[in-house]
Amino acid sequence: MGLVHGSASFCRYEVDGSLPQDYIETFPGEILRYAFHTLDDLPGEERSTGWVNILDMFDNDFRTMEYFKEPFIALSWRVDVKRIPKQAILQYCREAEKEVKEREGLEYLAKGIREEIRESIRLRLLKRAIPQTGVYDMIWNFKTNTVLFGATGSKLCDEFAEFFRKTFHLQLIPIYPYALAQKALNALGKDSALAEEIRPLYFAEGPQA
Amino acid sequence: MSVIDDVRESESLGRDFLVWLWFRSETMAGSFQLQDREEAELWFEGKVTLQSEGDRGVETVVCTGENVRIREARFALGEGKKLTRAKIHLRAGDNEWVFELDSTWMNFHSLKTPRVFREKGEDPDALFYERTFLVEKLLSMMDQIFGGYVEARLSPAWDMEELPALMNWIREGMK
Repeated sequence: MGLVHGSASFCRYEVDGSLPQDYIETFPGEILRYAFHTLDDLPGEERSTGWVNILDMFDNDFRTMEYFKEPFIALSWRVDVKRIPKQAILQYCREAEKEVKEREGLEYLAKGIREEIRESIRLRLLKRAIPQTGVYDMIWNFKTNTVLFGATGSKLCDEFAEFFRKTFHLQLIPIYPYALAQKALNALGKDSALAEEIRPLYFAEGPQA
Repeated sequence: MSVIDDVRESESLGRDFLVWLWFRSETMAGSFQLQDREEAELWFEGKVTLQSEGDRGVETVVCTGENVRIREARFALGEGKKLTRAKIHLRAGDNEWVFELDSTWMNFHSLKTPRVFREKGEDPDALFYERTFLVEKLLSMMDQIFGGYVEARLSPAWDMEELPALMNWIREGMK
């Protein structure tokens, strides 16, 4: 489900700045640098994010640079997360600590040893965990300087905007009602500051809050 | 001021736009004139979400279903609840889009575009271009309608004609 297939939920951004003239030469390297890698390639990591082909979420090597779709750059941002239940770590740690204490004849374990046990348990469980995958489409129209991003949650959108900045060295500015009103006024040849004169309406009878 | 502060400061803009859109869709047969002599027909159907803030925090009312429930939503509006999200149908020519629009960011949710047919063996890019065209077409139409609202709000006719008619429509909904 996303901007290209199925039902879509998305937010909009304006790109602050213009497309570099040499983008055809520079972007492929940057996209490849920030391409998605599976968690199997990143031992010990619980989360991985990066670009994949918008038409194939398993393609992260972009051999034919199919993300260039004049006048668009189209990619998907893939986010894989492995989650280990806290209770599981707790249970395995307790069992492992008990075993060490019995074997070494100790009553207590030093903090450093407990942390070592916890980390080895975490890594062991991480290998067994199956990642949850999220794929969010991104369509950048460089004629209109706007980006559509296939998600609406604030935290995810903020993280995406930062990832976009790291990749393309351009800032994304969210489009929201006030910004849209300013744009509309500009298009009408009016002062965009007039948007501030649009006051809230009150529909209820009686005194205003 | 940060973007988040700006959004909070101006959140009434999106809310009031949704109310105006609903009012226009019911009183003007939902017809909107767009650029290049295009026309769009728009109506609310299926789901309307309202919120109010009181001593017990934020209260959310979701009205779903056919017209009767939607009338309940209009009643809630007259009681001071604020419209925060609505399911909207928009038709232009033979094409129809269905989506939910939220008032805070004016993000689009659960958008269904007109169906894109794909021939067997067709270049997958053709699907991309057609679908993107349909999404951008909707955005262009909605931006024009929003521009119309901004223009209406700043026109002298707003206080004299449009606002009294809108308030009257809300009162009628409470009968």
